[in-house]
Amino acid sequence: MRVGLSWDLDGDDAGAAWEHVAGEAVAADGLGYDSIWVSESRDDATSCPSPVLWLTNLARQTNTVQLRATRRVTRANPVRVAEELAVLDVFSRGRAGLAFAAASEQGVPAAQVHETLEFVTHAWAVDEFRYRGDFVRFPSHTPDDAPRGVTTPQPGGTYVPQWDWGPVTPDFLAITPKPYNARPPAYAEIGDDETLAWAATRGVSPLVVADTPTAEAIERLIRYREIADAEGRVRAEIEPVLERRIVMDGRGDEFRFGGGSSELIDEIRALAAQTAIAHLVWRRSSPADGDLLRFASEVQPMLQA
Amino acid sequence: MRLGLLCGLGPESANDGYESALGQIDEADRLGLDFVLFEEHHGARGCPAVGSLVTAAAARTSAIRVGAANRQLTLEYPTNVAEDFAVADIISRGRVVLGVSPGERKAEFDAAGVSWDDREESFREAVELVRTLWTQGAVQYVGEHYQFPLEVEGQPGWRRQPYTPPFVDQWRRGQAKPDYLPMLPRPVQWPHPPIWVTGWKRDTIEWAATRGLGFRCSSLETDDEVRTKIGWYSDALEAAGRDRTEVDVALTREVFLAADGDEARERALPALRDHVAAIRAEAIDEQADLAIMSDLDEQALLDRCFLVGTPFDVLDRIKSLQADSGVTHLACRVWLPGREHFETLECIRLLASQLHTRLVA
Amino acid sequence: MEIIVGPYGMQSPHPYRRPHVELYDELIVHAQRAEELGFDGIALTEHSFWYDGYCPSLLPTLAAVSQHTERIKLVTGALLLPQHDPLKVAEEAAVVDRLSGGRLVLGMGAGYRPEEFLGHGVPEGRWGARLFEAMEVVRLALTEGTFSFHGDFYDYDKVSLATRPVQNPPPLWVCAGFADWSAKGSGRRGWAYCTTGDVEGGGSIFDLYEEAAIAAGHDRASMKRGLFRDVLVMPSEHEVTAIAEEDFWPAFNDQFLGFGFLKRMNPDGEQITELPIELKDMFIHNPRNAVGTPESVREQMKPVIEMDLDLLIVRTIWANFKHERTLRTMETFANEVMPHLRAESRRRQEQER
Repeated sequence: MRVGLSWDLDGDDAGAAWEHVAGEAVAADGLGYDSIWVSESRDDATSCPSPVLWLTNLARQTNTVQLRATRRVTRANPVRVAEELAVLDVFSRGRAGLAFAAASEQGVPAAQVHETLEFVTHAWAVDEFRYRGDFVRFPSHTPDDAPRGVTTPQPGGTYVPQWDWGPVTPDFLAITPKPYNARPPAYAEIGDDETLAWAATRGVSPLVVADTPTAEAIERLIRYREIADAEGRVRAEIEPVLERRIVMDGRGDEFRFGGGSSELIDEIRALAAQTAIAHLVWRRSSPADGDLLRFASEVQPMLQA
Repeated sequence: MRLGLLCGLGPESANDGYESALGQIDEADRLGLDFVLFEEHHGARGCPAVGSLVTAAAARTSAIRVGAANRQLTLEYPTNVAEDFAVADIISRGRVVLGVSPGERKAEFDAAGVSWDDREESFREAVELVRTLWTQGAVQYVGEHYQFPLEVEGQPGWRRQPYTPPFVDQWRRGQAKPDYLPMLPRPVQWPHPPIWVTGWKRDTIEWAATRGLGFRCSSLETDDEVRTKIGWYSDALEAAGRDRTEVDVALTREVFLAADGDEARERALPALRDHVAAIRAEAIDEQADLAIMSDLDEQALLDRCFLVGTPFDVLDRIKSLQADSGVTHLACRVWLPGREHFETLECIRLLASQLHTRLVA
Repeated sequence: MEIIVGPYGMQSPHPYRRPHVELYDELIVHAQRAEELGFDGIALTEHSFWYDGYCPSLLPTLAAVSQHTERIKLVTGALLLPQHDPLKVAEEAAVVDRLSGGRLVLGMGAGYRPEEFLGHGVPEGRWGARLFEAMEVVRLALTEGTFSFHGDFYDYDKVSLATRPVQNPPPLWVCAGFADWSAKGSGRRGWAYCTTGDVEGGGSIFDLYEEAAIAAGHDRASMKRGLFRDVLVMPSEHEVTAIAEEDFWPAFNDQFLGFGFLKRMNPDGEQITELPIELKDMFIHNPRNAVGTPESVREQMKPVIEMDLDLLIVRTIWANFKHERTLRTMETFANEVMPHLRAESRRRQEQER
């Protein structure tokens, strides 16, 4: 099992909160944690409205840790979402990944999240293309009679390299630069039933966030797994992610794991056996939750073997 | 489209040839080509220890992806391959591609003491095992041909270790015979490094699609045969409810480029003649139907298989394969025995500046 | 006068292919070198959907640069604002400004390639009007706690950005070519104005800018002038010639033709595919362009000093300029031209006082 860390960037003082999180992230990289996650929020003065940008500033301060941004589809142009993550992926040499928050959290139809994720993953994987959906249209002059979803150009005519085009307006465009990976990992938060079923059918890796009670998280991940299995998805291609709060040497509750190292190992391993999660993300609330070094040496290795 | 190299380094390459090939890869890396694959063979036109070449190339390059073209998983226990390529993925910081093949020469299987007739079934099991080991932590796998750990019994398939507390550290478990084992270290790439299946039989290709694995079409097929085979793959993918953007579809081609088309053909043909003669001499059953094995004359080979000429001579053919078959990666074999190092370097430069730039947008 | 080096486009063009991961590595090296050499800032430039991987995301990239530099300004030159959501740009600008401790300079241009507008979902036409409106949105978002804006293109009601920049606001510049509308528009609205100069690279366009500003009732002293200037300076004449022929001229060819920057037709109505040779004189051998040895470049820079600039963006890099050569020209400029420029412009200021 991979183990990562996530943070809410909010706090009283932006400078201090961000510096603290960046410090923990750099330490996590050195301690062998697998991933760091930040999400988009606009609640107060220290919220980070642009998690991809925030991770880009960490790309060169870290070596191996994977960088994951949870984004919203509102106030986001899908083209920019694809471009920004591609630059992060290039800057970090292939360590970028993108998750989308649940539609119900954002007050949008589930289909908008699905379409955005589909658009973005296509934009990374193919060269020139166009896209027609209910929420996304690329380029914007794509006609109404274009086929739904993605189309790529048919061969024909003489090829003219882009640098000899001059002022023309093509029907198909390629997003550049391409990410370093052909397919940076993409995740969907499965808080909505509609998205759960869609993600399991499409093989999009599921994410269950910290404010879901553990019992519900287990139920959702099992339901996802059953649908994915029935659809012929191979487990090796899916990376189910569970975000939990953890209090070392404290008391757990319906949202949190708590206890000493050995109790935590038991709790987490039992849950992993039940849900087949590939990736546990420790949602950090405060340094008092537990020491990163101690968790890395006393718990993390025991989740691997 | 991502563009890369394919190197088949036979025994004759073992000294200077390796050094030249690595030099060519340095150049490809410097010029931003996307990947390089090494071909595995135990005998002519391939390297027997592809994993070593991959790590050597990874260590001296910075950006280019490195991998095997046709790692023949079943010639040894697949766990070893999973480990080799996980380590290569770490050394390269996530730049490894694992191309796999069910087998191409009976003599190689005989020499390794592996059944040639069962190659297809054992290959599929081996791919599933490698994928499982790379992603699942402590597991057991029970198959017809492989068990992991060996001698484990149970229902066919793989399963994770169930958990019954309390946890005992691995270093305190003693020497009990294990029912479950983790393969460590794990690769860097998530969920795992790309796996590209090379195969000629329709059911191999369809199986790869159903399992969400990439497909690498070999250089033996004509452009039309490529279209047919990628068509099989795409149909099977669609039937499995999968999308083309989930997978890579790579095409291999013999490539020789020069600023002058006639000169390119003249310089390319001698090595290509030897290459085709060798291919024809060792065709296996599943390749026997391919046009290259019988009725293609030199002109037809140039028109339908090889990409030889100026970059502009070959561009339309590639663009059309990109458009109608959705080829995502083009692997170019630019070096063949008998070809000079400097010619190969020149060809790599033309690939980067003239072709790559026209295939991305 | 602040002297900025750039703008970097992070391109891998056909005459000089590179892996992008290397280009981004080198950007950090160049930024650190610029800081050591005494430049005041480093600039990036953006375009989208271009085959060579032109950087489409300037603010994230500057966020990374901010972590490896301490002093220099981080400049977008230019961010093509009408192709973005202005509120999103303001948000990201605030984050970068925080991460860099208040070093962001936001230069914004309109863009001119139709496919970039269509690709980002923006209708064609009225790009200049969109730019000025969007800039106003950015300014309001970065300065006001809560703001409303009702324009032709953008409409916001009681919006507030929770995350605030350190600078209030970061310097905002219009970055433009030599079109009259940009000079007049910037002047009328009181924006700081950075230009490539008039058609011939001269400073007469600033007159247009200031006339418009004064006519609109802006205080002359509040108006800010910036200039993009190509600089190719090497210790010896033969190095200059080599770069001009091997790197500079081919770069112009692609930039001007392919980008649709130069709309020139053959007699048969087709777009020309090769730059007319006379343009070489206009762009490279133009005495107003700073191309040559340090001595001649110091001479060529005299008119620039007389423009009384607030911002000078020294363009030492085009798409296919070799990594080592760019570093070299940057060093030569910093050591042998920049001190002279700074001294002369200080002297001029003192005289005026």
